[in-house]
Amino acid sequence: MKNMNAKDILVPTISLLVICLVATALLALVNNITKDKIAEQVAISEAAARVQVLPDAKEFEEVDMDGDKVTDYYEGIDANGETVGYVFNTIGEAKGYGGDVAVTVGIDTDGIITGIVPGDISNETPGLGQNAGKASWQAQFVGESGDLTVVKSDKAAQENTSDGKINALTSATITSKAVTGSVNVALDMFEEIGGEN
Amino acid sequence: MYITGLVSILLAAITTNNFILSKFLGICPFLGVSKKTNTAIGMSAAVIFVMLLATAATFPLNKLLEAKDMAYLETIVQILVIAGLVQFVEIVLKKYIPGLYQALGVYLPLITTNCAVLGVVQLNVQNGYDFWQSMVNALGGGLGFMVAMIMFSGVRERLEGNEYPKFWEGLPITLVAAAITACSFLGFTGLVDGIFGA
Amino acid sequence: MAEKKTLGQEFSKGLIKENPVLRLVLGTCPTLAVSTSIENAIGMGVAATIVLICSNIVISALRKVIPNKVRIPCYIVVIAAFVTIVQLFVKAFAPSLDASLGIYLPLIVVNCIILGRAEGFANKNGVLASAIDGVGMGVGFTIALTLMAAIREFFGSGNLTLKVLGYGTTLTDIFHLGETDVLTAIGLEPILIFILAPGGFFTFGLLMACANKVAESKGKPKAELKGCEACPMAATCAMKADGKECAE
Repeated sequence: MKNMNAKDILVPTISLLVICLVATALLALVNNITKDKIAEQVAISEAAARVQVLPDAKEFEEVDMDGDKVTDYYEGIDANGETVGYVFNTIGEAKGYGGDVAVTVGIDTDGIITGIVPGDISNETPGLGQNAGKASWQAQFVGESGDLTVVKSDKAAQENTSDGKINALTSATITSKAVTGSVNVALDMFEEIGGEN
Repeated sequence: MYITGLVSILLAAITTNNFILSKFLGICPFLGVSKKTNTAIGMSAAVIFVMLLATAATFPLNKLLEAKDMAYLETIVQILVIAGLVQFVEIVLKKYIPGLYQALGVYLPLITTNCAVLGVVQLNVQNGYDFWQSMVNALGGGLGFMVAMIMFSGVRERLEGNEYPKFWEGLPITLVAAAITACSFLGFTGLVDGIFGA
Repeated sequence: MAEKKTLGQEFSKGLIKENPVLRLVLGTCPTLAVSTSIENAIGMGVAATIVLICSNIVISALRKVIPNKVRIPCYIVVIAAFVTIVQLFVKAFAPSLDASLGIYLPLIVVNCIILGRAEGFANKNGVLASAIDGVGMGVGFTIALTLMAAIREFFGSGNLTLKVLGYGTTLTDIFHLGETDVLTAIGLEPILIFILAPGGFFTFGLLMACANKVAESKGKPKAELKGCEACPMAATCAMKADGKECAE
């Protein structure tokens, strides 16, 4: 009886343990194979975003900084070795539907936005907030400067790209505000560092 | 400011980001155990309980795994912790708090494979919430689950005994009712944003 | 198994007769959540199919070794391991799919189709049959998911993303519409709510009613939430023992 009990407890415990160990070992192996590839993919998509928002720059140099809302930023340098602008990766205070919305913002040396790309917007509402990924909406930001506000269904604001107004995405004001908030963080950061150059 | 943040997480998890009606987490119990209001309440109470426990238990483990650069083990650790926790809670309740066991015990095993529980743990990691934010999100998620379950059980009691076109009877008409209930939750759009400003 | 099925039948039953979504009513959460575009639906379907095939094979191979008492935790570990492996590969080779599936990718762990097939099929059948069952069920899941996504995406946004892993085209590109959608182009407007949560429930109900209609014409019973029978936790579930309602 006693023997039975010990066996009853030991066999299931050991088999579960063995399965866990094998699974962990397997995962460690796969992680090793894919780790570099994943890091590479992240680097590629970040680099692509930088080129997209600041097309004039040929090279990007990361600038050392500590920041809460600005996760990191880069100085964009053109073929002649001159600084043509900055690229900021920012997270604004206003949240989208699915939490923070990170945005990559390109700003030229005059403080004018050259392009924006929202990061991960997969948690925003499909068909509404996720339209923030569309180039046609992002284009409104180009040419703006200073401090941006979100307005609703204002066709003029959509077309006028230097009025400081961003026309919200249809039925997705929250996402629009989250993106714009992150862009404003970048504009503020530009003001802060602007004096140094 | 921090407290305001917590309240907005709570409100959002109950209303605009309702687990069942906008994130589609925990649909099985939503369709399966919502026929009577009593069972709906029991099930949701058990879900809230397990969600809070699971969040509290997995939070330090997630941090540990992240620190050790082994985040890839998160999913497997989380599901094992949830499964173990459910069993453990069941045994403890049975032995020490039989009253509560009577009320919640029967629902516990169903919760292991309830995606709402694993979902809340994953969401906390993905949103980078700290401990209290995670707990509040779990509480809100659970309460939202309860609100949706209770509302829907009321709707379903009304559905009983009516006549429908033959092929719509049963599940199809239940799903259409769920669609209308989900519509009502769309009305919360902008609520959290409106209260706390942006 | 009352009757011995051929391998061909093991495969084809998952497609229509025992379609996991429309007939067995399993895996409803991902079906509703990721069916907002065809691209997501196919990605999700393929990821779940791979996990299903692998876990079915391993669980079937180990079915005589795994002690009965701890079989559910063992299945969960096996499934979670494969889900993580698939997730790592998706992150490495299809990062945009990983971003759009979000938490629903790791949530394949608790997809009842997978645990349901482990408990209901793989632990009673041979490796080959289990693998084929996994393929059939996985393809059936993918078909149902894609069908849902096609309806929701077309009516909700007037577009169809006919893409797999970013390769392919969209309906608007085929007609060279630029930023307008197909429905707007023919003078209608997209019905936005189809993409939103309520549209998911509604479309699922609609497909379910159609499935019932087809089933009836073949003399089969309607799809119902089987509750305790289909529920993978049935064996450990106290509700069944107490004779209380489970999903009736």
